Amino acid sequence: MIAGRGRQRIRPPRRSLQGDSDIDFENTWGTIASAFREIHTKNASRLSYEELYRHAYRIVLKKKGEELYKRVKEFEHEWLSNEVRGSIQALFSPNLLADTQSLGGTTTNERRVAGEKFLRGLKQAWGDHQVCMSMLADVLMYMDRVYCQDHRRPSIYTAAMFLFRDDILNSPTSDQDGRVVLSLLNHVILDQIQMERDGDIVDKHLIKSCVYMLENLYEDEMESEDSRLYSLSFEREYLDSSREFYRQESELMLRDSDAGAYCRRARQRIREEEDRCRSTLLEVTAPKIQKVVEDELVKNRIRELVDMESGVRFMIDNDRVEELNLIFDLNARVDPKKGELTRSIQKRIVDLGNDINSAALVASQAPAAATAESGDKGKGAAQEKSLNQQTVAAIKWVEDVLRLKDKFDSIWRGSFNEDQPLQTALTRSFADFINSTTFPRSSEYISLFIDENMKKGIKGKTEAEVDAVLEKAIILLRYIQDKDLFERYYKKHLCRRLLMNKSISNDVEKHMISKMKIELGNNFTMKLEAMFKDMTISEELTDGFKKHVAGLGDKDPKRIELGINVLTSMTWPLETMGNDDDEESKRPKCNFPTSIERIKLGFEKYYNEKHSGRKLTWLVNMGTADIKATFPRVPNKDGTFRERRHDLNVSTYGMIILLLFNDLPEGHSLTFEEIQAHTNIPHNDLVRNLQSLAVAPGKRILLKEPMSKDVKATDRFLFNESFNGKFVKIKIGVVASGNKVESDRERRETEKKNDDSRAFQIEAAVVRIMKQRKELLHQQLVSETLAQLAAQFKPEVNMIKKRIESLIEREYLERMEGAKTDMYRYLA
Amino acid sequence: MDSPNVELVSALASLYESSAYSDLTITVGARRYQVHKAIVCSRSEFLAGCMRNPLQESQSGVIDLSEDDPDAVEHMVNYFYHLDYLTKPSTRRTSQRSSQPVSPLSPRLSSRTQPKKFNLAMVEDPLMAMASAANAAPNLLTPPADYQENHFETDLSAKLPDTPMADQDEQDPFETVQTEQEADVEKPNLILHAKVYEIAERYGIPGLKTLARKKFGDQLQLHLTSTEFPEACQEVYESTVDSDRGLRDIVIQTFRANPDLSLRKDVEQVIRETPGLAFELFRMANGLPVFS
Repeated sequence: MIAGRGRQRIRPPRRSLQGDSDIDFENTWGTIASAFREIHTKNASRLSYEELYRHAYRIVLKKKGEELYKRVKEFEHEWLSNEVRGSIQALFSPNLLADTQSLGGTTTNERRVAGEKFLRGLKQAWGDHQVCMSMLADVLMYMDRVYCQDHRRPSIYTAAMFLFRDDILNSPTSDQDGRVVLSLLNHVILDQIQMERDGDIVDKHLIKSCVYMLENLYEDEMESEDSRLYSLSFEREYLDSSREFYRQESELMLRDSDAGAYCRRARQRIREEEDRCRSTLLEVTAPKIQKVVEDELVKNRIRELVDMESGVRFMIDNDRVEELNLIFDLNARVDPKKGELTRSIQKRIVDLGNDINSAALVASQAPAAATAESGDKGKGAAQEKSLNQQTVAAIKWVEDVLRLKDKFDSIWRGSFNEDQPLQTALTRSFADFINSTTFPRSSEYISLFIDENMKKGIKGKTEAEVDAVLEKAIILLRYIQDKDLFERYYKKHLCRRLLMNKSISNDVEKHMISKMKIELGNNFTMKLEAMFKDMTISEELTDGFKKHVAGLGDKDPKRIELGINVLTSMTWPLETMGNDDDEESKRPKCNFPTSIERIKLGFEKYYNEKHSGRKLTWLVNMGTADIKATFPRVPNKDGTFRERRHDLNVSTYGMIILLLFNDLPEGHSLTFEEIQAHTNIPHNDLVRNLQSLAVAPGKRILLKEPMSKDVKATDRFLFNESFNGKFVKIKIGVVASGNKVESDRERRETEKKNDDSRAFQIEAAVVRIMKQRKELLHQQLVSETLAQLAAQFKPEVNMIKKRIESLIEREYLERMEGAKTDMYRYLA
Repeated sequence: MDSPNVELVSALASLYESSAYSDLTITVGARRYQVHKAIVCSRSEFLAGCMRNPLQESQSGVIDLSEDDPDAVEHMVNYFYHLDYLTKPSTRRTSQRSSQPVSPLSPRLSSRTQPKKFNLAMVEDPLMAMASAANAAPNLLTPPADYQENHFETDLSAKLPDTPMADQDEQDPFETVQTEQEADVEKPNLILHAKVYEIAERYGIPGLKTLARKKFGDQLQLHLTSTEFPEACQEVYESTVDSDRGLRDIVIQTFRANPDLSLRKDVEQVIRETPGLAFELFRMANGLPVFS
């Protein structure tokens, strides 16, 4: 401001317009002040606005703005302290003041009435103050515009609001009591809210008016957003007291009610608080109070809640879909990962899953143990029975797991809003128990489940039903970690189904393959598809050979028909078909009867013409033959004599054995050793075939001496001329065929084979990686290998280490000298 | 194309003429103006405050401004309805008892022109008036900017009234509403404009302030030698607060551009009597900022 401006003498009047410009400030102020008093006492209607405005304008024009501003403030201060404060203090009833110290002595109702009276009075005072001040501010408009703006003072209205804060809210409630009105106000509002929480009905509208007052008053002159009295004073106390209240309530509820009721109450409380912010307090508080309630009722309690006796476990077991949904909702509020719920659900799945696992083990192990101990061939039947039991156990296992999955799926849909992370958690838990190290049979069981359905289960089912069954298998398959093991079992089971024509429908088989292809990839099904291809080619070969033979023109009525399956070696798990203990080269060639040998040679010649350079190995143990057998006349019951003919379906070995007896004079017998010498059938196979021909009741084509179940080297066999079968067609199976759960020994072998093939795959993966990377740290190599193989199986790190060692020995890799940590280099 | 704007301006004017729907009366001594709250309160802070509060005026519907200069009040009311003032002899307002029904496009309302430049015959031609109103309309929404521009010219004398710019301004539809230029030119009205400026400041009517300021500036250039000048200077310096620079700046710039003004006896007298003016002139003469 430049010198000379500011306080100056007032010029003497020059013209009529400013004739009264030499105003007497005090006089004018006196007029204004008395008008203000009229306004405050609601007597404004006789005042002239124009006159008051003009007075104020002139004062400001004559540079008395500051003085005016000061006087108005003083006036308001006086007014509030002398007139308003007294009327507020008159509202403090004794019990209102008393209960700020202690709750005793007054009833809730009394407190509520007293509280409402106080709130109403305060609201009234505030409302009056606002109305009057807006009138005053309009009268003093020019002062605001010129003086307050030029001097950066708060407008007179704002200044008067501060006065209300200081002279009313921050004044003591009474002369004795040190507390100020504001804290009493907070207390009364909180008290009213507490009454509402306890079920009383309070005047929300009244509270809201007082809340608006707190919202529109500020602690500092800057009127910054976070200095509102509401947030500085009331809201803080509100949050604190609510926290305390909900802490106690949650403790009480955990003790006295069940988890479902707790959830319902918690949800209700959350909604109430939300509503309260809308109807009674301010929306800005909503997220804060919500956090308090959620913290106290949910976050700090969720663990206890979930683990309650009536908690998640109980809800799952009793299908409390709605309560689970509540708990899900609550957990989701405080934890987007829903950690506690997830933990508890996962635990329940694994527990239930392990129950299923051990049930399956109990069902299968008891008899299996018995056979394993005896290990005696004579117990074959018993073993078969136990194996059957195991198959049943396997199928039950699959169905139990599927049922469990259905249960949790429906909970997931019904209660968990199809939450993605939870689904992942469910999947992980299923995978956990399915791949549990204490239960190594999942792969086998699933394959058996498919096998069972392919052979029997899908009979008479519609396409959709069949598809559902296959889909179930696929679902379980997804959980399987060691896919390679499953592949091995599936191949084995499929092999039997194909070679023994056990499949009900080829189409369904192929459908299954294509499903697995989608799920597990091309690699996985390649060999399975190759098996199907072999079957097709074999059919063509058989037809072709038949035509070829027919074309030879050699019309032999006794001609033997040959059906042949040419199986690509390596593709088929032939060891599972019984020739498990020998390697191809060591297998002794059995001697065929001449008629058979001729056909065999004929086919070999035919085949070699088509595919030169291929070697055919005959797997005699896997074939079957249909023979027409004629038994001599024996007297029937009615005394007639009839020749009896039977069509016998026997194994190829069985046929060879039976043909021996064709050449034997009637009544002669052959010893075991003689038969073995003639046929050169491997010992085990011979024993089994003789058992099925001579021991199995009702199917004794041969007679054995002495009659016993076991076959010994010295036993003698002769043709049973008096054989009498009920049916024309008789199928003589060989002991131990068909897909059963493996015995422990078999399983060990399967696993060993699997490990061997894994070793190979690991090496392949390591080499692939190293070829690309050239040099790599040990740790990285291991983790990349794990990643590459994840789709097939999860190799043990130890195994990978061994393979790396082996590759180093074979000079695919070398250890890099001088590296701090283990590091390898690829050797081209 | 511009007819909606023209229509609004003429509708306002006819409201004023006919007093239809009037819900508020402004009185100055014996004069009474039938006005409309919706139109006047939305323009003036004072009037809005007056009607907003339950004091005497809002109950009675009468505002007595007898303390004010009657002419200034009349111009203010005129401004509310015509967006201009002082383009008719003040007798016109007595046309409450008035005469011929007023059409906004009647000859009376033809283009306001600088008489030196415009053919009076043309001015009186209603068709031409229509045409010029239509042509000029694009400026309708921007006049305040034009005023600003013109007024912050440091050298006011450089802005001659007959420059093409000025011509364009004169065609502004705000100013086409009324004519009577002869009187305007002859009478400087400097004191009157200063008073209108003061009343606009007092009652919080920014548009009127701007308009009065422009008129004051324009007139001052045309009437430097006017005998009104000294008194006008005093009015400027005593009717508003120091911080209000609107007319003060114009006066100071006029002194700067015409130093020999202070040689006039009557001017000297006023400077001596008006310390605010004297002080600022002193600052100016010393090359200091006139107002800080």
